[in-house]
Amino acid sequence: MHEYEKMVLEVLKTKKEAKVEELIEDTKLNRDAIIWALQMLEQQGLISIDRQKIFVIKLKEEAREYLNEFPEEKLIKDINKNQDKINVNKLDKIGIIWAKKNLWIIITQGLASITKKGLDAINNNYEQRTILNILNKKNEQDTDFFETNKNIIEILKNRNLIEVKDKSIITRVSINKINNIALGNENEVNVLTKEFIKKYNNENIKFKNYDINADVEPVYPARRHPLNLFINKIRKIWIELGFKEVSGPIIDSSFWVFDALFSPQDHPTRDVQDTFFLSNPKELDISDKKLINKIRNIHQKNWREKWYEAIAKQAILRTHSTNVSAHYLHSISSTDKPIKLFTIGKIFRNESIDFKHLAEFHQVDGLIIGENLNFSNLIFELKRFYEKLNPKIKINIKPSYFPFVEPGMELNYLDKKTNSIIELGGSGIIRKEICKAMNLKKKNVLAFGLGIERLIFDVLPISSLTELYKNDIGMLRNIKEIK
Amino acid sequence: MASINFLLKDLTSNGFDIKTLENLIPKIGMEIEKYDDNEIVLDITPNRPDMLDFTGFLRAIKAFTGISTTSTGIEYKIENEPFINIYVDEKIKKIRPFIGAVIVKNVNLKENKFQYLINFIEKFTDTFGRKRKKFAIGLYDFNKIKPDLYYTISKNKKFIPLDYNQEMNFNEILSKHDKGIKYKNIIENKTSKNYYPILKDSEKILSLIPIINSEQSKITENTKNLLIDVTGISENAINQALSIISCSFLDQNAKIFPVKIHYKNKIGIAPNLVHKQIKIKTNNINKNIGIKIDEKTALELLQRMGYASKLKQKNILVNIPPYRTDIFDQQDIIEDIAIAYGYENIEPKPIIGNFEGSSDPIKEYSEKFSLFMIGLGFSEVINPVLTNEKLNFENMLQQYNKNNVIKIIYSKTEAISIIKTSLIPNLLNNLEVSSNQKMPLKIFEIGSIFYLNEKKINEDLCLSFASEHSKANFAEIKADVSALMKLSNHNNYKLAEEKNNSFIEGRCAAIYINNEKFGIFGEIHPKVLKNFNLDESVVVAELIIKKNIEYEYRI
Repeated sequence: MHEYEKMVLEVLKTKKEAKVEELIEDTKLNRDAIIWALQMLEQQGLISIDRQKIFVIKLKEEAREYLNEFPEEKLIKDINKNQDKINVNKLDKIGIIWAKKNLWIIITQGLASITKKGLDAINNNYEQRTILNILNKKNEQDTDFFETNKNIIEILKNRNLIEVKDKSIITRVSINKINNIALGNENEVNVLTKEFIKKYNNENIKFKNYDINADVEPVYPARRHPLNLFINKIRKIWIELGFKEVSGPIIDSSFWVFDALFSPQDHPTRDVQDTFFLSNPKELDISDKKLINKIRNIHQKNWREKWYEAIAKQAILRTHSTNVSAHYLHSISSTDKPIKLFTIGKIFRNESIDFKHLAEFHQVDGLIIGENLNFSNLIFELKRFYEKLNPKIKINIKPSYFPFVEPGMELNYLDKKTNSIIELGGSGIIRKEICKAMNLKKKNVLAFGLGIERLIFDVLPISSLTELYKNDIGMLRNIKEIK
Repeated sequence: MASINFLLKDLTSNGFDIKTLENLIPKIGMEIEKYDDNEIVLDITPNRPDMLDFTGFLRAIKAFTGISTTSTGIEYKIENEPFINIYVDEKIKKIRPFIGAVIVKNVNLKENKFQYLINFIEKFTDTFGRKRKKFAIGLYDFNKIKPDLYYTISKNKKFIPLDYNQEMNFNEILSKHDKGIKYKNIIENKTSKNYYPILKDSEKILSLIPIINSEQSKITENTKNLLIDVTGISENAINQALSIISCSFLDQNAKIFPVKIHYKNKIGIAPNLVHKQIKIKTNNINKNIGIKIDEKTALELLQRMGYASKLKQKNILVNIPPYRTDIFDQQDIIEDIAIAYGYENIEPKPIIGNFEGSSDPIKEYSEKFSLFMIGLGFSEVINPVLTNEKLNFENMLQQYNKNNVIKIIYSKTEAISIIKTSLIPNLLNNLEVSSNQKMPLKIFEIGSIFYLNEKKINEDLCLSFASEHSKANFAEIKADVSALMKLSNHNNYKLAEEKNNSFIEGRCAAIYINNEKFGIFGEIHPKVLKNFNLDESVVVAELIIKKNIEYEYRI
């Protein structure tokens, strides 16, 4: 018999029965050791264990928004307020689905109107919300509660608002056969001690059998963050495709983020509403005065507006990692041999953040600089990349507009789960004016900037990006490896 | 992107049902935002404001699909006379210096055309006109106007604003009228002594520029003749706006009459409809797109994009209609040819040549440290760079030294105001949200921190790690730090006692290499633990693994 088992039995002999906490107290062993010992003793029939099943509930991020009002509740209130039929396209989709299921509304020819049941619902407590609030206050519930409210809990689970796990907890242990304890079966070998192995010479010894189905404590190995694993996967693919990885600053002057890329100075994105401007430091110096003049000239020639150096000097958080591409266009000389470059890093947008929206994202930005490069080459490279990243998604390309490329294209794919088109990023041939200003007149430059977060839903079982940034260790411990 | 609504029946009656549109719209570079039985909402890219207009949109898709090319190649022309005069007061210069205008006669605003015009003008001024700041457009019933016109400034006066039934003075309009509240910022700081920019005719005030017109000259579905004025700060943008508007009405068989603008030192005539010509070689088209088309095909593709073009020796001469304000030179034409060819029809072709890929040394370097940390049993987390004073300083019991911290002017979210100067606060946050997890909790992050050093931005790459459990203590974190120093070949480091408010005094150490501080570690002070709702002991370390990163952009 193992030392721990003996210690636990020792206590139980005097106490007859005990809670786990008492055993911890009396033996000074840790909880894991006690649990293990109890399981071993139970298998030998020496003790009895009373267990109780309880349910542990975790509210998903989205559920917090529902605590005050479910979308279907808001929807019927809105319809009722308008006293009218409302076109379904103008209503919240989730709200419609549930209001319909609850028979609160009927939809005829695309118009939603409220039913008698719906009117009743406005004045009554919604049972889904009631239960959700109870679960929010107390996240461990016993079987009674669970059985009584099984249907509603099942609905909340299916709506992906809660996660339910059951666990059994030991409420009490008691000793069975006081007289037999000392006996045990001392002839069976349990723990392989150092002495035992030393003395062992193939005797006919009986090893104690273990129950292979007995519970063991889970082990949580240290892991990389899934987003970084995904970023590394992307890095690896670009490197395989012959791209050299480079990096650059997240804080930069507007010049490198906007002006050098031909974005007019009054462009709407260059506003505090969209971009993070800094008050400390307010300005960053642009060292190459000649370049400033060249950029001023292309702006004034094409946009035919005055161009101000003071606006270009404003310090901002980059809205795309294309600022790194701009720096490299500037540093590479026309005599350098053809090269492919990429960079991955954080970009920023002034957004109101909530459980769905973030202010920080990641982007991969790339350049191919050479002679006789064309649009079909760019399409080839991008398609290759996505084929390697996830052969299952079919990439579409369509014309689009970005000030610094011509022709320009957008990459997207059809997300079959939501039947919506997901934009992946923009791409194109860098405008000749920019190449000329950067002393790369004879070169063709292909460029792309692709969002990373957009693609992560296909490889990770998460429903929102904030889940990734919350760094809930439970999630990080249990999340599946990326595909 | 700007969104615009069209009625589906108006498109269907021109041969474009929703199925056709769903296929067509992305091909011309636009997007369908949504649609229902009645309406379609389109996203138009900012280079093509002409397509925010129903006539302009129809013109483009008709040419693209080959349904009708009647607009292709026509010369957009205005009548020579009669014209009217607008006299510009010199004093308006500081407020809103430029005006342009056109007279449109014989228009038909029946059915939905009136609404389309209003929607177009609104979206056009909102996007291209930068919310009326760059330019604003006014529409008037020309029959209710007594020329000449005066673009001038005026003291606070009264008139009946559009869709109102009683007079309001300028001041009231700016403080009470919804358009006044929305757009007053455009003129507010520029008007001195309560002078306001206005447009008037020989009898009455027509408009408080660029806020609202008068009720008296309001247009309706039945209006036959229009005056359209465009005022703003960019003469070029005003001309472009008038070109786009004029072409639209000319395509609707209306007639355009000129307006003479009398500035102090010059007289201009609006609108100025320019048909630019751009020369291009087929060879150049093929080289840039990576296709093989002949001259004849090139001419056909150009026609589908609304250009009339002809062959002259080896050159194609492309005639640019005045509404294409986005065409600068050849490369813009090449894009349009690629669009007509169809991006999906361009065969992807590999790039010839040897390219050797490689990873960024700094990334490789931090990857090495990640591996060490996994070996020591720490899991990786990723946190935002943006933070706030409370989390970064107050909760950590640290002094907030304004001068050294990189601060953001305006954020929509309260939680964002500065850039983080340490990775530790976020790690403690991560432990807080994970409090229901089985201990020990061990996490690490590698990331940059930022601060100002003699007014220069300093970026340090840091590695921070934290361990939380009931027995977490200084000895544990010291053992981890020592192991890490050994793994990264730093054997000559020294430790010194460190005083830091976030840590328990006497249980905090700083790491020095060659007398330079590279890190700190120790037991977190219970006050800090409380601030993060942590109920077990936490030890942390923060090491600078690369000091003062400078980007050199070398290949």
